[in-house]
Amino acid sequence: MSSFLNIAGVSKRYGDVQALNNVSIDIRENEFFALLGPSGCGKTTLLRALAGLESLDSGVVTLANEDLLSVPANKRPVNLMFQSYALFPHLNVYDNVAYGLRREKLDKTEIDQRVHDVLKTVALIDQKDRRPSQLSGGQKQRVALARAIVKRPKILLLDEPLSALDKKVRSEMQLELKRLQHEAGITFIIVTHDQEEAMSIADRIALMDKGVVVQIATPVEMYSAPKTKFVADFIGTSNLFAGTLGSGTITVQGKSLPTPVTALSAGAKAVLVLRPEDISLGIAGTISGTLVSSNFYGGSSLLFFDCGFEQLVKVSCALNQVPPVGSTCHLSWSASDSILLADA
Amino acid sequence: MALAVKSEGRDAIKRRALLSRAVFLVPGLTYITAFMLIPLGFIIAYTFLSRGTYGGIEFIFTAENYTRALDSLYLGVLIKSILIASTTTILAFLIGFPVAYAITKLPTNRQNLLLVLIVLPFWTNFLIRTYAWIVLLNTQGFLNKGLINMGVISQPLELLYKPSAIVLGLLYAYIPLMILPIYSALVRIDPAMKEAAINLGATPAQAFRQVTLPLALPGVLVGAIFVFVPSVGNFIVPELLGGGKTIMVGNLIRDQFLKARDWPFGSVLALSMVIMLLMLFFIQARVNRRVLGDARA
Repeated sequence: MSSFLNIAGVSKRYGDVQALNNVSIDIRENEFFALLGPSGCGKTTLLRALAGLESLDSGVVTLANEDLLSVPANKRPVNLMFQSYALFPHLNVYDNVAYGLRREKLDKTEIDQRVHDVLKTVALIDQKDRRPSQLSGGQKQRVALARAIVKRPKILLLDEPLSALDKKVRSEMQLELKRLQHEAGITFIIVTHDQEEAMSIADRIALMDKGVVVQIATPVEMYSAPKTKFVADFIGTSNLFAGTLGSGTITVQGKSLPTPVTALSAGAKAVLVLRPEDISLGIAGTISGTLVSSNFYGGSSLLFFDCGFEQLVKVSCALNQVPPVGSTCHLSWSASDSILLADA
Repeated sequence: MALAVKSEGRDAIKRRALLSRAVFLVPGLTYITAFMLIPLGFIIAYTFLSRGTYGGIEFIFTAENYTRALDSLYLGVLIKSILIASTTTILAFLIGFPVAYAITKLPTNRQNLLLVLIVLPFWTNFLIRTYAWIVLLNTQGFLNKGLINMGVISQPLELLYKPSAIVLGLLYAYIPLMILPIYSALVRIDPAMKEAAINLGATPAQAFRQVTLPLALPGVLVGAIFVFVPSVGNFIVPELLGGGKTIMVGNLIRDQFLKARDWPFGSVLALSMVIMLLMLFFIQARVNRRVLGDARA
């Protein structure tokens, strides 16, 4: 598929801080794309630059092969849903949603039609005369969404759209966003620091750290084949063992662990990544340890073992198989399930 | 039994909460009652009584004070006062809004410095500051001398003792009261509001007019009342800069009490001012609710 939004070599510096460092991302049409990363990684700066609210020092951004950066902010076919929602408190729901269409000088009947349609889509037609101050958090969020999509942008940018909502409403809204994205046929770019959210909602993710794109991949790829230690650590839960490579083994804090097939040469510094669900408990195993605590997560539990490493080893375990705390267990895994990464 | 004890305990808690609220309200309520409501009651009572020969009042009921207030002479003074105060208020807005807006665009420490500078004149006596304008504006004053020396004018300008001088004096005195509330309204607007408007297709000018300005309106109204109220009732500035030629309602009220010794009529004039100000506050509260919605809902 051809590139729709092409971000090439984009950089931005604020004083001493390099907010964006030579960032290049290709985003496809109708894609649900997530910019993921810890706070201060540059994801919001990039989003605001796409909306024209922030200028860039260098780099090129094209949308459908046309230069985007030379288009003034109020003329870009790009709408942003603000983290604070930024609903106009002096206007009711209807006028908030109609605001953007009125700026396009569309005729009244068309505006009315489109506002009604979108308010039906987000199930807020009964609240159309309410002021933002009279709405719940979830309703405000839906007004903000309606106000952005009613413009039929080529790209919808969402800045931490769900962070202000409580957990239950958030997962409902995740589904809602996916459905809307599908129905509207709009390219969505979401900024989030919540890896679970990015994983569950996005088609592809760009993981950023300190102004640099670390990896661009689908959620499954990113989970199963992290490119760096940062990715392995940020995405999902994992056990990271840093050590020195031998032949077929890695020496971690004096203990030798088996490694998968690798191109790295013996003697190199490396990190062995082991996901909790790839480790099983048994009578015999690669390492043994004492169960320190177990955290219950509904269907399964996350167990913490003291195996003589500096860090506790995390193992996920079916609920009915959790051993008593304090008992000694053997931990085993297949070396091919583990991931070996060079340690910079 | 246990339940009864429990509900009794809850009542006690409720009672204590009410009591503590009352304790905090007492000083304020006492003040307002003693220095506002009771005097206002006297004023209202005076309006229906007759004047005493040497000031004070006589307990003879009459409505004549009210009919007298409708005399074109006094109505004219009232209208002139309102015109002067309105002009002052509008000018204060036109000058004060850009100033307040510009201050919000500066770094925070600069903002605080400028706000202090704006309030600074209040630390000097009001009378002295008003006298200073006489020194500046009279025919032998700094301004006229300066302009003559520069060759801009040959004859000194008559700047003092006319309505425009009063407006200038009031404007100078009360413009900080316009700037501060507008500033505080502007600074509280989420910057994302304007960005959202631009993102939705508004030009910066439209974003300002349709979003920033309406959201600052409550501050503008507070500022307008803060400027209008002391201006309309002012008697020092018209006396000093108006040269007594332009009598405003403040002078009139003072004269009724201190010179004409007609307390009942002075009371009618004072009451009419109070009613006018109450109406202004009422309008302001309504606009506030319109702009901000019922935020407590």
